[in-house]
Amino acid sequence: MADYEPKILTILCNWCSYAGADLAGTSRIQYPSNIRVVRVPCSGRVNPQFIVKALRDGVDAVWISGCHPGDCHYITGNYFARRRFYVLKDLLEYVGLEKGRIHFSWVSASEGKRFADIATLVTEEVKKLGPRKKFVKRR
Amino acid sequence: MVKKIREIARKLLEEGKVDVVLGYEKGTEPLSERPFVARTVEEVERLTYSPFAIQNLATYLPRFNNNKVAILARGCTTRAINVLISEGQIERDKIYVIGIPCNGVIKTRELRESIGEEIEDVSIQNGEIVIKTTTEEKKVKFEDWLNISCKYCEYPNPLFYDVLVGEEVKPRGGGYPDVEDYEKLDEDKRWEIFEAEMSKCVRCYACRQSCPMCYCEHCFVDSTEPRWVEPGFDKTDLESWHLIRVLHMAGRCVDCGTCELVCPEGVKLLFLTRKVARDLKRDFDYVSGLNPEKPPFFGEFRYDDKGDFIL
Ligand code: SF4
Ligand code: SF4
Ligand code: SF4
Ligand code: FES
Repeated sequence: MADYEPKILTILCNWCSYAGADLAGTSRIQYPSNIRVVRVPCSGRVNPQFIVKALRDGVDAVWISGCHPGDCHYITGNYFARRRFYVLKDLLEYVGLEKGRIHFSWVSASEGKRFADIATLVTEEVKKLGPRKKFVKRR
Repeated sequence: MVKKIREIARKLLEEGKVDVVLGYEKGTEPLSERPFVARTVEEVERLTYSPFAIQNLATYLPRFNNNKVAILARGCTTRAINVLISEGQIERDKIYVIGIPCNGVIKTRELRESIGEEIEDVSIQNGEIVIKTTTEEKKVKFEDWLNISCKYCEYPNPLFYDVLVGEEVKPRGGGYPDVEDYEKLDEDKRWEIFEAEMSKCVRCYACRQSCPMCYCEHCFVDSTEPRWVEPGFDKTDLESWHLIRVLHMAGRCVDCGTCELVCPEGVKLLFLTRKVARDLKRDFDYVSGLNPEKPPFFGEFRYDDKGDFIL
């Protein structure tokens, strides 16, 4: 388990969280390399089905990040997203998927440090859970 | 009640007020009543109604958009009509609603299986279902065989109607004790039960075909690009199908129970849809199908929506 390196699908909105990740990079703040970033225009672009599919396709966890409420480049995208994430997260936990397999955050373009901190936190939490035993496709 | 329904249907067809009447007729065996579209005065004689008529008839409304339609509607049927109106699928003024205060519908498939032999005749008397088989007569309590949604239904009476058949009934009382019980189980147990249920699914899609909210011409489960769900019977695919279906139902499912009642494999589905309905009611004060003017749940937001789960 000690050398378990999870893959964490990380979906970032272009205008805040992706820029935040960029800032972490240019400021040379270290964060774990377990996150695999996909850039989307807005957290509102994230269909909850993406998360279900990513888990089914084998990632260990999913982390979604967008602009803070009120800061969305498209004004309200993240408010719509918030509802969807709430329903999805609650549903997955209800059927018994471990807490800690999906994470959400708001990270702004100026929060490079915060981005790295959350990346570390999420990675540590997923490492603690270990490899996924539920919702694993037989190949 | 059946007499009154036929009377109303006959009059509507005779006077040309509607082209078709959506109702129920006797199925091929006792304990089953299936959807029936009466188009002529003669066909009206085939219409019937009982708690064995499990299908939510709102499912068929979008297919009759070029007709004037009368529909037998219980509480949940009218809620489904509201959702369909709010999503722009149908128009209220083209629909004549024959309202039916509802005492609940029966888990007919489960009941039939529990009897285990051929049923010759069924009737309902004093809160009991009397079942005559080839060898004996059995009585079971009506309330014991109620569809779970009906057991906790808050809106048994049609929310609106053009004519009402019978007297309004008292709701049995809402709540989601079934969901709460499930939540009390530990995580691994919940997953075990979820997997066991989903593993029974044979992907016949009867649940989808029967659901008033599943009117999509192209369902995600049939999509090959992206392939949300792969063909075959891997557990994760069966689970993905149901999880995503339930997500599509958030704020739209009217908790009629039709999906679960029609499933030939007895897959439990309502513990999922009712969980989301409970959350929406508790955490967002949202109940689907009460107001045709209201945008769909995912089509709106509030600034103070729950957000404490976000870092
Ligand atoms: S009706 Fe039952 S078996 Fe058929 S697809 Fe739905 S859950 Fe699966
Ligand atoms: S998901 Fe099931 S309970 Fe909900 S509206 Fe559709 S058929 Fe009715
Ligand atoms: S499951 Fe979803 S995509 Fe398929 S018919 Fe129902 S609402 Fe449409
Ligand atoms: S642009 Fe960042 S959440 Fe909408």
